[in-house]
Amino acid sequence: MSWVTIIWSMTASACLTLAAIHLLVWCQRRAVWADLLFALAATGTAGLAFCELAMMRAETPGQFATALRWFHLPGWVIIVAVVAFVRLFLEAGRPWLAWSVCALRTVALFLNFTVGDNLNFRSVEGLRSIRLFGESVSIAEGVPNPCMLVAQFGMVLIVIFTVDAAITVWRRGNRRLALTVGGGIVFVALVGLSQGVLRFWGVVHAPITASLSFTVLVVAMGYELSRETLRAARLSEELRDSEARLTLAAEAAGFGVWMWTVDTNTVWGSERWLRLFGFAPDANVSFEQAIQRIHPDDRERVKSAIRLAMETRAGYGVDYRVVLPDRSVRWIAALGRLYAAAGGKPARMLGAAVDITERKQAEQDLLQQRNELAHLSRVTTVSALSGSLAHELNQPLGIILSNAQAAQELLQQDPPVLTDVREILADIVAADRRAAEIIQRLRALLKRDETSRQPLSLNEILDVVLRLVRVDLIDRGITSVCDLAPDLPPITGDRVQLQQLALNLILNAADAMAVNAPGTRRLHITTSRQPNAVRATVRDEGPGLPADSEVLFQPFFTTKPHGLGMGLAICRTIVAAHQGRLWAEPHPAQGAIFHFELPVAEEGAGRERGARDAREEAPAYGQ
Amino acid sequence: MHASKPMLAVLDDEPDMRKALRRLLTGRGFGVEEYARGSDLLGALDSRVPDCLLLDLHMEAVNGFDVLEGIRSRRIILPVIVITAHDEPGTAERVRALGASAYLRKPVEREVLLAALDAALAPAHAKH
Repeated sequence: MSWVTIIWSMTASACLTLAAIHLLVWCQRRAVWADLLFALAATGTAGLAFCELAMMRAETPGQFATALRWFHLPGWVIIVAVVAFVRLFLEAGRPWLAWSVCALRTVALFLNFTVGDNLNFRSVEGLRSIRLFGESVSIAEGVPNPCMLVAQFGMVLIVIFTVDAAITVWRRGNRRLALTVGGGIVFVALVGLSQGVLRFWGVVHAPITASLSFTVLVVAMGYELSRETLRAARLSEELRDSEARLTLAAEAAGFGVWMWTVDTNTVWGSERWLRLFGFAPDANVSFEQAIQRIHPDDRERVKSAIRLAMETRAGYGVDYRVVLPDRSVRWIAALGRLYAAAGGKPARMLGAAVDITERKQAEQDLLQQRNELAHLSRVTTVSALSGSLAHELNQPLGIILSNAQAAQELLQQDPPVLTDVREILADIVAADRRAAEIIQRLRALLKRDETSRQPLSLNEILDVVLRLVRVDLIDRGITSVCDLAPDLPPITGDRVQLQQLALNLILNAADAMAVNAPGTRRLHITTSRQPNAVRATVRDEGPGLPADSEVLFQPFFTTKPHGLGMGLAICRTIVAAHQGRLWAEPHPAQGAIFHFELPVAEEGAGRERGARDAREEAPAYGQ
Repeated sequence: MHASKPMLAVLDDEPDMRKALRRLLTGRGFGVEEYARGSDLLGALDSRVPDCLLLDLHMEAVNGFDVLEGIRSRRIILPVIVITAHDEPGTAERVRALGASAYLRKPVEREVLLAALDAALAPAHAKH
């Protein structure tokens, strides 16, 4: 057998073997198109080799022309497969260039079968024998076909397309890939282009040996693809190992582990997770079934947390309740993370869940205790104010009675004097409303209520409290000086708790000034805007603070003979429950200053943070 | 009662309260002067002394007690009826010690007020 036959046959069979291997790989995992494209390119290269061998062995111009015509079909397959390979496997290259290359090669293929003998020759007129590897092979002589220029322009475009794609890959940091695949394609294209040009213009007379250079490209592509396949296999093994370790650790720590595969929409759960959600140990669970187990009030919140994690590719953490088939309710804290497939699409979500029912119950108990203590403190505070509150009520009652009796007298006259009666009735209505408003404010303050959160104005809270204590302050000879900043942004909070906070601070300040001489008892209340917060400041002109002002906030610390010592401790917990801060400092001139800052309400805040707020609402006393 | 129209001064920081008392008392044939601040009343006393003063106790700056003391220290002869919405133990004794002729609690009944006025304006109280 001759060398030419051996080399070309071996090239073809090597390419066919590689093609077969990757075709099998592709059958195993259809999602990876690069394997199929590689198989096509390798098969095409084998096709080129066969056609080239046929040309070299041609005995008549007709045989040569036919072989050269069919040579362009595998050529077209290779070009299209390589361009698609660059787009899909390298994820680079400009789409319009890719389409242009494919379109030009397709036009060239069409011309190959319609104009002249083939794309290279209008007509093959004779054969010439030349020496290759020590033996004689045929090359053609004839009239060149100008349509060949279309194919050659296509080759120029593919060089541009590939260089551009390789630069992109290089910049992404994958320099080896850019050099092997990008460099391989450019090498083959340039070799093919230069051979074609030289042969077209009759500069050289040599057989077509494109399959040899294409083999170089096929080897480069195959190398990269195999590396990638091996890497994926290793990763998947490592992932399996780490999943096994994770599951083991999580189960030992009391966590249930779950994984949601987005494509198949199935949820795999560890035994503990299945138990947490009330599923049988061997149950096949769909995503919807798992979601259905979540308490209806929490379901939307969990769904939107998952949606957000899928959109932002971030992790998520939510607390929620599950309702078990026996209607019992269990609190779960869950963490999850999204893992994307190679193409960047969300592939699966992995997470852990733990039963926090006991903790939630303890938190609820603590919250209830705190609410009861706060309520008790409000009742105590308000009863201390009862004298001045009686004044606030007796005042409108006095106005009503005197007006009503004046009206009676006007009506008793003959004829009755009606002109003033209308005005008197209006005054009676106004005074009655004023009394009702005071009672309503008192009721709100004395109610033993669940905490509720709503947007509030800090100025309004201070204003309401100042009106409640107005007479008390007058009686104690205290003048209040208010400087409330206009246009303060709203805060989110519990109205009653914040009123209690303001009330405690104002009455504390008033108590502190009891020792002052009359005329020097001034209470200064200011509000101001801070970065992301609003601040209220209550300043007295009393004797000042102890050296360590923090002791004031400890429970049962008191400087008053009949104080419980809970007022400021409760103030601290109220402020902490509102994610704010409360602190005291001496005034440089005289007295003490208490500041509290509350965060500005977030726009659209609410449901998302509900679970977390509930947890933070119950800090221990004296923190 | 009196031959001429008796003139009453009403000192209360609450306009609606003053208005209500004025309506009630002008209907009964009294003349009524209104004062919103203790300092205003004390200033007015220099030029003219009314026949009786209806006095609220809880006011900012100069309060009812200050007014009673002011009247006493200036030795002005003026019967004072204290009307308060804020009844605390000891207050009644305190205002009587300061020379008030009556101590009434809001809401005050018309008959109670008129009786107190009658008593305050009776010739026995007048020193001249």
